[in-house]
Amino acid sequence: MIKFLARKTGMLILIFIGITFLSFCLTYLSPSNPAEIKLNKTGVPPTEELLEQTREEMGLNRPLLVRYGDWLFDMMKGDMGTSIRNGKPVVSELKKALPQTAALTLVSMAAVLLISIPFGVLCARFKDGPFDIAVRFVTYLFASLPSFFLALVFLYLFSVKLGWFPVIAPKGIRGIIMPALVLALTLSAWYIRQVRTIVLDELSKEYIAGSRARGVPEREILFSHVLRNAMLPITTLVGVSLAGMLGGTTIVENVFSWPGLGQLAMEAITARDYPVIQGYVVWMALIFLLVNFLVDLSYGWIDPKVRR
Amino acid sequence: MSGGKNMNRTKKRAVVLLVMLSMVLVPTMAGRFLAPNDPYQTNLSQALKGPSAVYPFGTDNLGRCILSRILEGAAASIFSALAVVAVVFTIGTLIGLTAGYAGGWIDQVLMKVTMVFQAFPSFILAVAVAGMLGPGLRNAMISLAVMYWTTYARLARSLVIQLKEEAYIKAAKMCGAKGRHIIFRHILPNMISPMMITAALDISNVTLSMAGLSFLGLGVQAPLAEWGLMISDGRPYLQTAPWCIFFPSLALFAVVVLFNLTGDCLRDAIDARGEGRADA
Repeated sequence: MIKFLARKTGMLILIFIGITFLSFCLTYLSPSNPAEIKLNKTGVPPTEELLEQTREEMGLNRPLLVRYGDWLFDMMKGDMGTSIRNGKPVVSELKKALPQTAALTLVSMAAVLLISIPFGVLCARFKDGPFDIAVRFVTYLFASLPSFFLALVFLYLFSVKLGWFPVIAPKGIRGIIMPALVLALTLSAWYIRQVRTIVLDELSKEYIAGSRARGVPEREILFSHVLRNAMLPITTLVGVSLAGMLGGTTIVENVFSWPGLGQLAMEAITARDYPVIQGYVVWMALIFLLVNFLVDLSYGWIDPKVRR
Repeated sequence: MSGGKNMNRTKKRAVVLLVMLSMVLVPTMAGRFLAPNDPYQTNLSQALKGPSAVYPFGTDNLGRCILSRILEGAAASIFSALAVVAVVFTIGTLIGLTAGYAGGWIDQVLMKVTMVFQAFPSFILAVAVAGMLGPGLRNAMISLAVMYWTTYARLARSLVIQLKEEAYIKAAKMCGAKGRHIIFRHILPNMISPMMITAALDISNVTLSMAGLSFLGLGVQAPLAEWGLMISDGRPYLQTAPWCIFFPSLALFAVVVLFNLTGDCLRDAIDARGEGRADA
């Protein structure tokens, strides 16, 4: 177990360095340079001489790796610079939006599991029956549906036509339902198929045939054997699919005006607020990394075979 | 999968899909010439009008013909996705081939880099790259390439490593065949089918991501026509003129479904020949 932990942690650190370095390098993609932005903000016309001086002051002339080291060190201390847009610290901006995105992600992940486990299991249990075929058809179509279209349809139906929800999502439970449901539905299409495959795989194993031969009731086979064994791969699915879900929040938050990280990021992009964009991508990647690390660990915990 | 019956069905399906695909792709390719109206002609007196004989899909907030804009926008929506797939296919294959064939530290380094790119939630990386570069079709394409190349690199690497162990490759090596000869004559041709399947199945994903970026305002810029952007522009008129959103969405949906069906069909056809597995 200790060896397993050590190996996993080593990998975690390596990827952490990779992620932060790549995010740091992202600023080099921006067409405008930080010194120019700073000068423009103070209203000083940027001359060649002044630019050079500002670059020197801001430490932009030092080697890349030194600057990366400083940046990383500051980040660890909780300093990711200040927003160009409003001068507030980037970290406090992110912190304000993070709970909204976290809540949205958690609620939709729960909804995904609630929708897709029963559907996936039923599809596998009655493979090639009318239910299975219907669900497969619907999930196929849903997988081709852009999430923003689904979001707009929801907005049209439930806000405009039926008036159940306000068009701009209020904070709290009433506001989270629609964005979470849209996010959950688009991901469920993929999930149901995965759960179906996992359960079918489990059902084809020999011990199932053995149990059936011994007259164990089908219900007991399904619930106490198949579902229990299927939980392991389903746990991994949660970790893997989190990337898609976090990506989906960007679009869904913007359609429903949900004040999370995705909306913050889009505001930052419109205002060319590079430190905030950078902070956004680092945080999202770190959340994804951390959750998958935890999923890996729990996997090793549940199944001793993985530890090797 | 054995027996001629399945093969025949796959063939029939392939023909039907090709016909459907060409029914969608040919008009969109020739969009400019088929469009009933000028896609950029604004006419405020005709703004937000519902579907009619002159404007089959209605008009948008500036009175532009939505059908004409859908046809005009197809190039940006579909062909940019195809171009991205072609680019990531090439780059990923090159990187995976290098890593898998060279092995050792080159492999280690390249795979670690791939792993780091995959450690980002992919769409968020694309949004960040596009956000840093600034909006525009070219930048959106770059950011999608950054998001998608890793799949191909990893698949190509695993295929090369698998193929390197095959007896005929070892025999070729023993006979003194040069590395370049082995790669181009023996390894690459055998990698192509599984890689093509992955690429075909990926086209729909890239199309959706591209539309997503445009929807967020990171892709093609107004007044140019593009489906994701048209849908985004129609948002304020959701209540009064839902056709502004409906028809571009329908076009996008139809194309994505068709790409998905074609990808599946291609996979089945190649699998049936037993040439490769689509385990990507």
